[in-house]
Amino acid sequence: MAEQLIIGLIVLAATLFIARRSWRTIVAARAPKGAGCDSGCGCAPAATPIERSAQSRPDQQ
Amino acid sequence: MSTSFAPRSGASVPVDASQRRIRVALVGNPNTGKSTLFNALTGMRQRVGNFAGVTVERVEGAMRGPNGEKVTIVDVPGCYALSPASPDEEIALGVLRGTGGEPLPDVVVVVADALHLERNLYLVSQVLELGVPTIVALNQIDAAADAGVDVDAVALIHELGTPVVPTIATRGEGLDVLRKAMVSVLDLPKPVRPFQIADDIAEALAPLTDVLRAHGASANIATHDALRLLAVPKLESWYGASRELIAPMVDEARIAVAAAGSNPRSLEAELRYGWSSGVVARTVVDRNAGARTTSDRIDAVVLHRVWGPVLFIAVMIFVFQGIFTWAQPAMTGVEWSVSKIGEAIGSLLPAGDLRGLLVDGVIGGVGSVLVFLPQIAMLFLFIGILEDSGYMARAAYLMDRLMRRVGLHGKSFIPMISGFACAVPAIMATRTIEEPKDRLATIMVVPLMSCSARLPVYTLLIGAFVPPVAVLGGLFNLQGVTMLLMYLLGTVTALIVAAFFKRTLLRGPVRPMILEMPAYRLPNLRTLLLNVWHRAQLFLRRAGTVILSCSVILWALATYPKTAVPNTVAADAAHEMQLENSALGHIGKVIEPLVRPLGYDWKIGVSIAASFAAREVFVSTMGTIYGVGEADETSVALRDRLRAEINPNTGGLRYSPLVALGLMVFYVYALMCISTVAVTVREAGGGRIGWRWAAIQFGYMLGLAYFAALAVYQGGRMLGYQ
Repeated sequence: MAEQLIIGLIVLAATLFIARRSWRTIVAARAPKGAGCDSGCGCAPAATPIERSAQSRPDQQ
Repeated sequence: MSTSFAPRSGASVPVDASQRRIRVALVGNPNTGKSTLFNALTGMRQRVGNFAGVTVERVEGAMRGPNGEKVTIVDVPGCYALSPASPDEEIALGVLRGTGGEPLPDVVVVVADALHLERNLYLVSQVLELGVPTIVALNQIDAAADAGVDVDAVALIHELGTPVVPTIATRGEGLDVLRKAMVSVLDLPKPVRPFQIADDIAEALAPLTDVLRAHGASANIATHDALRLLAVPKLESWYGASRELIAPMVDEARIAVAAAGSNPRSLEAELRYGWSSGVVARTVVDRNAGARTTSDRIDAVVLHRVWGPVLFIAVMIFVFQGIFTWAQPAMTGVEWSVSKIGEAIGSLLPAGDLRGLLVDGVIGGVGSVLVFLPQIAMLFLFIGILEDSGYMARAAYLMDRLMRRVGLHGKSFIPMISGFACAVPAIMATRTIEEPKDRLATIMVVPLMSCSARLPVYTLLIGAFVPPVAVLGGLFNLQGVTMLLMYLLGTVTALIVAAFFKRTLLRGPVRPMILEMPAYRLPNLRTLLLNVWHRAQLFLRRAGTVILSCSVILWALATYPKTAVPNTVAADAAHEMQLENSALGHIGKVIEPLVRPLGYDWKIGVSIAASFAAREVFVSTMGTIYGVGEADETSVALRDRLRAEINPNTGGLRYSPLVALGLMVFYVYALMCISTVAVTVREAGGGRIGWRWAAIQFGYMLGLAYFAALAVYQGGRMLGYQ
């Protein structure tokens, strides 16, 4: 029973992750042209501690 | 809209240095090393390359000034002048002029290529006129010195009236001075136009500049914009004034300038180049003027009418042969590690669904994709070498003749080659193309170039069904040649489809190509390795997120509901029964009639459907399907399982080389990437127009994939292959 519960939670988390990522990709289509693409697309620059502390425009988040 | 170009009020107010915020815009001609300088200053890893048009969007980074100031640096796409001709140049202008909600910069750093100073000074003269504190970073002085060009930086400071800092961004030289200058320049007088305009011309421009000043422009800006407006063929509204107000004034100014003996269309260029050539004559010594450079000598072969294309093809063959052959030992190592991890986890956990999830779902799914990491790294190493050496621009030049036949020009070929890495940045790279119809046609065909996500699919199928025999006199391996053919198929089809679009929906003239040829240089090993490492990280992140999640979901679909299998049934048959009666099996049976004409069974059908999330998911799904319910938990390579899979109906092998070939052709053409769809929507105009083009792109590619795979399979059968 506990095993089934753990598996259920893992599968639910995976499903929610894919759904959320798909939604974010579709929303990215509406972002302004100057913005970059979604982080999962494979083209985003690597993050560094300095970059994370940088001020970014809200539309680039 | 604001037309004030004074520094932001907070910038020069003396406060606690650590609280002071300074916004710096990094501008310059394409391929002057802006992004390299940006990376060196901020510690970021923005993409760099030795060709024009690498940066096509604004990127922000941060650093601390010499006294702890919080400095935000904005890297923008390269531009030759502040008269945008393409979408990427518009972004640069927007940053400098504070349009579109962009805050005005406090300081502008113009990165100028020391080797081509005269051309770079054109932009410098325009930026100085904006009145924003400006520093000229005289970059690549090492390359200039190697070419026999010495620039007198002190003399240049006097000529420009603004700080000039010699830098070598690749080696981090001159950066401390530049950092200090970013702060100290705020206390210097604002820069002004560095050249004089003759009285009669100024008089001719006066009515127009008066109107511009009345709408908020400073004296310098008004003259700057008046000169630009004279040259603009299709006048639109100016920042503060409507087209109706400006157009008659511009016409009058043109007549007055012509009456003063100057050509209004070329006045700005004549004034600026006249000034810049004078500056160069006084500040630059070219010891090898007129002599052939090393790049010229290399280009004599690389750009030769006959040897150029031959060399290009040889380079491509070498790249794909290398990807397939040299990555093999590392792939074997990863494969072995993955199988050992699977076995270790399998032996640690008691038999049950949780063990099945971890071993068959996670290790079987994600592990089957991870195996391709060495090949992905190899692909990006080769792409990095081509980009960093300066060959990319030459490839575009070589392809120009072919591209013109399809209605595009060579500039479109650079985004197409970038598509070998990933279609998303490649589509964004089309921003360098000035003509909107050419740009759209390029966007429509870029996803036909085989991206790195297709590599695992090709490799799996080639490894399973193409024998590693030597061909062409033992020079090449059939597996590598097959891989090259897949890439060629995508490229040739992209050209044909582009020709179709340019003759139908996107009909338009072919404009001449103007492309800067960068000097050849040895690729920087650190940059290359960092780029490969960065791409490997992205691949691993993708494997650990999207592919992992898909593998978990597909494992659950393939495992439930459970089927009661009698003990008398053999293990393989029990495995098959479980799969066929699972949720995934039921979904597969619904899909199967659609893919049956292509020679695929339901397993391939669901794997294709699942790979809409990401192409690599095809491999992980097959890995999961062939892992679920296996009696023997010792991991057998997926390609071996595919090769040995028996069709229970016929007793023969289920998959044949013909099926594999059809499947590879399907993946060459199918657009199975939601990120690409999203970026097409945005870059094709956004909103309804963007969605329409994305739908056309998705539809034609899916149709092409289906019918091409159908033709391969059915055609092959008609020829007697199975």
